[in-house]
Amino acid sequence: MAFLVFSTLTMIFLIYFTLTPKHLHFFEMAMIWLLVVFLHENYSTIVMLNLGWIKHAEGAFELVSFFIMFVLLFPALIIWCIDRVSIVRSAAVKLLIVILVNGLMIGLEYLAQYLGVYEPKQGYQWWYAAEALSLTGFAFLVDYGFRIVLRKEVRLT
Amino acid sequence: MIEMPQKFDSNEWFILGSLLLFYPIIFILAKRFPLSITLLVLAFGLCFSKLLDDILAPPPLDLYDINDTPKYDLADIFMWFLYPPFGYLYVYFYDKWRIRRVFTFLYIMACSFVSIGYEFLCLKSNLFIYEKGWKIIYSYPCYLALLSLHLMFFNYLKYQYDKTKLEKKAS
Repeated sequence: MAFLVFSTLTMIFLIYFTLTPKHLHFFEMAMIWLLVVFLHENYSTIVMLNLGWIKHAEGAFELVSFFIMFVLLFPALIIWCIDRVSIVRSAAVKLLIVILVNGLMIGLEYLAQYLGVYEPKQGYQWWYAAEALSLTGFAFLVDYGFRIVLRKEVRLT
Repeated sequence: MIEMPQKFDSNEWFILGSLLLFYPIIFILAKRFPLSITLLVLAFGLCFSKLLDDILAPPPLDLYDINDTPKYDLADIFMWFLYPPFGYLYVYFYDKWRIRRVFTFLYIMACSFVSIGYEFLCLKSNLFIYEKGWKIIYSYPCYLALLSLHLMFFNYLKYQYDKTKLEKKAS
């Protein structure tokens, strides 16, 4: 069930994302994707292996769902968020987009928990919010830094 | 949160030695690519090696251990930075020697063998511990896939870079 839900959701979002016009340069999207995936891998290793706050499900489908979620869906959502934020001018709308995307990611984490992709220790659900917010914040920082490099090289506006 | 290595022995020395050997080489080599492409190539090596090890090494698959403990220790963090220079040197020589067509195939095969050789050294220095069923030869198809993907990514980056430059010139 988890595999069906997450693979379908991911594919729907990726198709939508691919077909809509984007403001970010391909290099920015690639850098955000690579570093968000790397950061999340470190998070999950520390939280699951060292701290034992969250436990992986044993099944192969749940494991695949976990990787689909964190290697494809979450980075794509974060890239979409940065892309939208870079287009709109109003600070309130920018904030609203960030809150919506983070809320969506936290909701997806609860869904993953409900479908048995992983099982948190009692009282550690706050980690979902911390993870979503830090991944998004980190992605914004990466994009800001990398945009400076790109601007110098290809005169990106 | 992040454990300390049990003792500073062969695997930690190997990581330190490799980092000290490879990173200066990158800086000494002539600047061949734009900084954005260099950073992306390095990030690709970092992300994909960690991704593959994250799928294979920890539970539930739990096929091998890395460094002193089955958990994430300080040496692991430094270890992830061993992969990016290899990826960079790989695309550097691919570009410098202008390898094309069937030679690309041979180049990927040869570099996968070099990777296996390096992994053998890692194994001897106890950086990887294969006591749970993984064998070094199983890594070969992984390297073939990873190195092929690396080249595809690099070629696409170059294509995108040239395209953007042309578009900027035209406008």
